[in-house]
Amino acid sequence: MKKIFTVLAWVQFLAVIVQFFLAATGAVKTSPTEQAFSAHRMLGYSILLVAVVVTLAGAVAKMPGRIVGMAGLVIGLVLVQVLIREVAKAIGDDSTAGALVFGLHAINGLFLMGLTEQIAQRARKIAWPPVAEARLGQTAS
Amino acid sequence: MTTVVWIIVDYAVTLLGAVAWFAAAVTMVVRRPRIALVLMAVALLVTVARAVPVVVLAGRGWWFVQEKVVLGLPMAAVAALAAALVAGPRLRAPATGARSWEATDTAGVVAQFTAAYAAVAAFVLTLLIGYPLTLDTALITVAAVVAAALLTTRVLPSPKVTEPAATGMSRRGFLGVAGGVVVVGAAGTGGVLAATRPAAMTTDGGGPAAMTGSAVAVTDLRGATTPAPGGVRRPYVLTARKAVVRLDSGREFDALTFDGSVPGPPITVTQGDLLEVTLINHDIDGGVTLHWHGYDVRCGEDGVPGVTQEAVAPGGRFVYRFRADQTGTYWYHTHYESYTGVQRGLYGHFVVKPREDIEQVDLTLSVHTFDGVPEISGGAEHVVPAGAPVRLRLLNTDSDPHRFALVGMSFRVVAVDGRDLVRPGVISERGLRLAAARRYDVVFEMPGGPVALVLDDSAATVWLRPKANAHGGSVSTPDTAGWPELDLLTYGAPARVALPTDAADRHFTMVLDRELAMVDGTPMYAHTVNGKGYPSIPDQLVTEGDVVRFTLVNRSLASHPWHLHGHAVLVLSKNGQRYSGSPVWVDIVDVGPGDVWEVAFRASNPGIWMNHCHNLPHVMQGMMLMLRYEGVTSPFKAMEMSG
Repeated sequence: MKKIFTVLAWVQFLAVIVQFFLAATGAVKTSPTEQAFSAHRMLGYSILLVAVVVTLAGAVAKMPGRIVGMAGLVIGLVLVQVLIREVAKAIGDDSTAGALVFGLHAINGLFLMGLTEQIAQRARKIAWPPVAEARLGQTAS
Repeated sequence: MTTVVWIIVDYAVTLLGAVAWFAAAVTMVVRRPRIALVLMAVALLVTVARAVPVVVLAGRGWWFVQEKVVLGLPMAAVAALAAALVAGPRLRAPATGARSWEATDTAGVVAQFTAAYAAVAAFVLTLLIGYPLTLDTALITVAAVVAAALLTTRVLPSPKVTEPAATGMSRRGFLGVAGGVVVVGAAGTGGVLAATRPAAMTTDGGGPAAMTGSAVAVTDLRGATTPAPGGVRRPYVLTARKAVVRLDSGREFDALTFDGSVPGPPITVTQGDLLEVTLINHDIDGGVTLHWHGYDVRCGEDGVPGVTQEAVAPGGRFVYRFRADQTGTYWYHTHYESYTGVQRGLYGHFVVKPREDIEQVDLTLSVHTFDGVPEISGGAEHVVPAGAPVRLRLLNTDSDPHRFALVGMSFRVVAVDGRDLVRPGVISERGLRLAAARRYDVVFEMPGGPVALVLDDSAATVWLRPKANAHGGSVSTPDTAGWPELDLLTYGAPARVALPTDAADRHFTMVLDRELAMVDGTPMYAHTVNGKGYPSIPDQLVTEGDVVRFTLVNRSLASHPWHLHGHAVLVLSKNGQRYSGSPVWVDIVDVGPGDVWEVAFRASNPGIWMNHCHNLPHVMQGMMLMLRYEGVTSPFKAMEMSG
């Protein structure tokens, strides 16, 4: 169970990296905003779903409370991403204030990347402790 | 405060409550009892405070609060009370220093987290589920909150002191089993209810249900084939093809066009003429059709692919034929994947003039956004002799509203959406807000000085001048941003209408929102009508001759310019205020965030009609349904996204 959680945590981390890639491709597309960022938006909602699954899996797998808490925080930060976009849109995409608010979307995105990486790393250390890794290596050879 | 402000306040308070409960729980976990106590007090306060926006919104309409009153608020309140009772005493002792804080207090932490989950659930209910909340969704929501609480107990370390095992089961174990039973029971019941609930295909609005009688196909509901006496046949050929067009501003745009121009060739006819428009698709992938926006053609000419015809594929053609009996300003556009089609240029002006045309200068000026920059076509400079009667037909072809301002004279708005107003007064220095697809006809006598048309309160792009080259360089226009908007609520003079609106035969309520829903088989954060997305929204059934009333409620934060095909609707009231000026007949109801509109019409044009939001991206995201006359069928498969 802990291993499943770890795999999910890595999937989540990779998805966040891909999300940065999609944001960059969306930004240079010439099509209207709604379409240019459709892939970014779809993956964003998928990450939200993955974050919920990761948190639930963490609780079921009895991962340390801190890791489950961090996983829960990912859900919160992803929702903040949506919130930032909506607030920026409400202020007005073209206005300076709107642009400034929207800039937070990128900063929060960086937080998300760091956080998901931390979860993945910590989970790996628990799911595959160094001793077990060595043993695995022996049986494989 | 307006309804939409209260909607936002409610969101903010609910979210704040969830954050506060999480903060209280986490500070308790990291053993900061004093801070935890303060945060819990804040969380409690915020939970109670949510009652204020909910009560206010309830006054604006049950649709705005149903899910909050029935589940969200009581669930959050119960969980909050439990958290206060369980965690409060445990936090008070260490906070006041009476007792040291030894181990993580599982029960207190779980209670606090549960309050947080309930607060989140309340927020999610409003954000993603909305109106109407059904029993199955309510059960699943409760199950989710209890399940989250159980999982939390699993993560937290077990208490150091285990209870005596003599009773057979610890209290913790008993609560776990009981909680598990609640989760499985509630979720199971909810799931079964959701799976077995029959999906309604039609809604009758309180009128008689469909009877099986003789049926007529939409393809048989075609327009007249002869002009009225004195009218003439007006043949047009429109070829849809890709082209790079040069805009008035000089920019180039990679467009989809009718006959290589954007807007397409203007179709201007005289009342009584017979229109015969042959549409040829040269190279528009997927297909193209012609929809006569606002003009009440018979259903077979309506140009909705999958409902009134097949989309015209590349190489194909379709002939639209109808008599122009109805004067006014309209437009034509493709109704096949119209989000991209119209946006990229598949539209044109359609004007029916009366037999006796009194205006010397008659200009149709449409705004359209190309690559993010709005432009007025048919614009630039016009020389109009002073004293000449002028009619400007303003048209918004975009999905978002635009604001026009006329500088340099006073004027009358004589028609809205092609329908004349009764005794419209002379006005000046007023902004004209045109919702998506809306038309305003403005009439005035050319003054001695220049007249400017200002778009969205930026620089004027259209000028009417009494003499050519009368200006020396750029002429500045006044700041129009501060001008009040023309409100049609009291504009013009009241008049009798032949529509008994107090005795509607059918009444349909459409609650517009942003929710999780299935659209064309895909789950998405959709634009919904009564919680559903196309094609799951039940058809509205009417009988010919019915007086039909719509209540349009907007729970979302976006504007929804509502458009019913084939009929103009009479505006009765907006947000409880009755329209007391001229009767206003429109084909676009500009339902703003938090708005409640009442409109009515006579079902006098049999067919199967699209009833949708004219913010075209919203159509792609589910906001479309059909109004179906009893006894009318369609031989086409309407399952494709025909918006």
